[in-house]
Amino acid sequence: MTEEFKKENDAVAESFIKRYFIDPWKSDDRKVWEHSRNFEVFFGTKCPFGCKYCYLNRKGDDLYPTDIQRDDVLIANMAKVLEWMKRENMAPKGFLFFSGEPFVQEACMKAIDMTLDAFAESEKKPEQITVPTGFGFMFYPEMVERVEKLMEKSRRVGIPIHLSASIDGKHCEPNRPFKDQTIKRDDEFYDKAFSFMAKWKIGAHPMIYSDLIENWKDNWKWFQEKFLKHGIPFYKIYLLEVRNAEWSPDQIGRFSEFIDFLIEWTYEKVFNKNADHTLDFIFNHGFNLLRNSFLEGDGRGMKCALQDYMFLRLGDLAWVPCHRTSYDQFIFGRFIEKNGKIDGFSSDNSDLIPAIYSMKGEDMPYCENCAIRDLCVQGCLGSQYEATGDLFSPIPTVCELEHVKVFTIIKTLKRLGLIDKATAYIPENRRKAFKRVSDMVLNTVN
Amino acid sequence: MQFTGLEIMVAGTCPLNCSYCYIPKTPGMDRIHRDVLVSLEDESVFKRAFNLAGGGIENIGFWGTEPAIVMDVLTDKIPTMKRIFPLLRHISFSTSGIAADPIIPFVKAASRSGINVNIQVSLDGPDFISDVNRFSGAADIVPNNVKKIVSALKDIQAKLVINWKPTLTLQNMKEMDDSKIREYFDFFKRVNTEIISANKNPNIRIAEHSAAPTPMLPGKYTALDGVAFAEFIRRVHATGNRTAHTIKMIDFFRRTAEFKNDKKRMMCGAGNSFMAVGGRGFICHRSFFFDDDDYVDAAIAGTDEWLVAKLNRKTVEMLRKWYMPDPDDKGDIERYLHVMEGFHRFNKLAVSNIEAATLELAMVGQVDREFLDDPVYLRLFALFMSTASNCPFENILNTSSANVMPFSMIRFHGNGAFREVIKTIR
Repeated sequence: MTEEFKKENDAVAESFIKRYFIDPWKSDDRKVWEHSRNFEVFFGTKCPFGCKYCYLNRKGDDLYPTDIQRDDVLIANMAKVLEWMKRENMAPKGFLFFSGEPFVQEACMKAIDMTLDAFAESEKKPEQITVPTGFGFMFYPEMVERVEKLMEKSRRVGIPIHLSASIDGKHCEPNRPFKDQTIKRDDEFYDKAFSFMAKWKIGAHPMIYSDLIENWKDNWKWFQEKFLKHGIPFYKIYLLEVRNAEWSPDQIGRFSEFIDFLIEWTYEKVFNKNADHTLDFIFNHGFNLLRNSFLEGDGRGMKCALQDYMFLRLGDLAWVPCHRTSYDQFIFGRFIEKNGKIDGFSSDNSDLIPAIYSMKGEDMPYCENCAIRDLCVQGCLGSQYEATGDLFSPIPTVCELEHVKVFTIIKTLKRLGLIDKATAYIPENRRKAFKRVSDMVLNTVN
Repeated sequence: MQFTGLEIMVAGTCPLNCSYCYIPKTPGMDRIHRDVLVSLEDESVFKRAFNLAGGGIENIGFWGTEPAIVMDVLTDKIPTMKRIFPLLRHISFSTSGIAADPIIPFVKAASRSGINVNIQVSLDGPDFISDVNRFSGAADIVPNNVKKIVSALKDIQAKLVINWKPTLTLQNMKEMDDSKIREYFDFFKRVNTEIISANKNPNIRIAEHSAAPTPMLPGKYTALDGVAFAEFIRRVHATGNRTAHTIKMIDFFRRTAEFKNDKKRMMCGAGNSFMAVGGRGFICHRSFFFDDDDYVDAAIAGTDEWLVAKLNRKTVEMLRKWYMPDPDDKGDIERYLHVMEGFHRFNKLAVSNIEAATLELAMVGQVDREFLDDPVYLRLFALFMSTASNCPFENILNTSSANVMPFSMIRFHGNGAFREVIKTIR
């Protein structure tokens, strides 16, 4: 019975992988995809930074045990993955290399290079390779040169590498310290980093964290000064609130002040009090922090990228729900090897696959009846597990944070005289909810 | 949240070793039992229960293994329970029916304190089942003991309800042809008639419908197991009888009007209306023992017996960290209650998870293909499963989330069993 049971679980997982990932990756017509089907190489957890809010920093060994992060194994597994994709004539829409700090790891550089080589001559190739980086490589000129060579190569072979700069800004520096406390980011570092960002059209993605939230107005001005100095457009900044449990009521209040400031700054400093331009920017283009509550959605049930990706923990070829939830008990299963090649899949927690890939954030317990369920960026499953013990149970403080965010956006739009026009700029499937919540918030305020 | 119920661990060892028991027997259980006994005698378990669940308890259930072996201690502790939980009106326990003598004085004492008692007696049917699953002679001994209890309690003023808890393994179901199914139901009819005749007290009632057979859970069920279960239900229905699932389905429709906003009435109250308490808090009695390292090691070593897909150290560690709240940590209790309240109160996620899993299983031929073609049928199935057959503890052990039901349960019910039950309702 046990053998048959396992066989059946494997069959469900394999069927899902084929339908959800392999078939789209093989397809020539990417438009038929309901939404992006990407591939994340969860490379490792090695990182010179000790970011206060970072899950790899806090829970790294549980998410990715160090004993499965040997460089030779990682490289060998990368070769197997690429061989499998080539053999099956498939290419994910995009690759993402996720690690603590990819560019200070020789093996990760090599894995990215291998990916470029593997698809260089292919008719079917990924559209891009994304690499989030803390810009640790900027401290080493020879590494900068190597990164640039890799980026040049990526463009030559038609799979451009896009970096995203994990820099939290001068005024939030203590949130993102180096583990080696003798290393500091100074003005010289930042000028080098912003110059590099300008050259390669790289945006910043600072995290809005509870600690030092009171500094964010100054931090914002600092970012914009740097952008101006280096010729980077004002909007090349992806803001995301850290949805960890530790937000205090006072910090949430400060967060609200920053949201209010950000909208006003955009309205006055960027768009010279042009309501239409401001609203179009906020709801359709602009800073993720403001926009993410109102995203139209593109077939996904979650507003994070969870359902867009196959997340592969490279060290043991484990398919995991995401890099934030790669705890042992949530591993869907592992790709199995025969004669050094990927050949099949062995399930572990395959029961969780349909739940993760089909879920809608607004269906989570408590969200079901929540007033802002259609306007909420929703909790992070990994953070929810770490705080509540359940992937799907929202964190009350994060609920408060998101309520305050939505309410502040509405109140600020009202304060600036933008609220009446706002609805027209909101994606159609969010308008009704926006109207409902606005009426509720503004009537309560008045 | 105000708890009204408790499940208290009162015993850690058992004289029996029933074939389907969810508690594998390991050598260290004698030590666990001694610890449990101390916690009853020094009353620390009741104090922990108060810290975890508050003083508003109206119902207490005795769980662990066989409570009959500690009935003398429990009888002595009735005043303590009444003192700590002044609203206590009801005590229940589940027994294998191996002995009547320890139970009789307990029920009398409870009655004198104004406490009603419910006794669930594990009896699986005639000798060809009970004697095989439980112990030799069970089919005669257990009903005789119940008769003895009933006869001895002709004067109690409080209410006593006795119900049967028949559990069938899949093998039992497969082996039961039409005549054996008739024999099964005839057996309970005869036993009920005899006990009802022996009963001279209007305060004592035998729950006759409780003879409906329930399947052994959890299980690593395959599609073929589901087909066998469906065939068993079909045969039971053909004899004009009902299974526990049939009864649940009738209840499901009866409650339809109210259940949408009150899922928890359809489910057990684990972590919601009741708290389970041993050395610390537990989801329910089924998770007792999981806080003991030696026990877990021994049980994992014989893991096939536990019929849980993901039973390993990591899962147990997760269970301990998140689902065994510390009685002295209010924050931990609040967190635990938040998760369990979410599980019990809300249903959209459970329904959508079950629907998604059922569709995946249907696509690979592991449940009825009808689910792919009929969204209403799929929804009805998911609603039924999410309320009437949804066990948070089993979900956690198998999928690591209370909110995700394992494939096993869906295969078991989705290969004709649900269709058979629906047919009967129609």
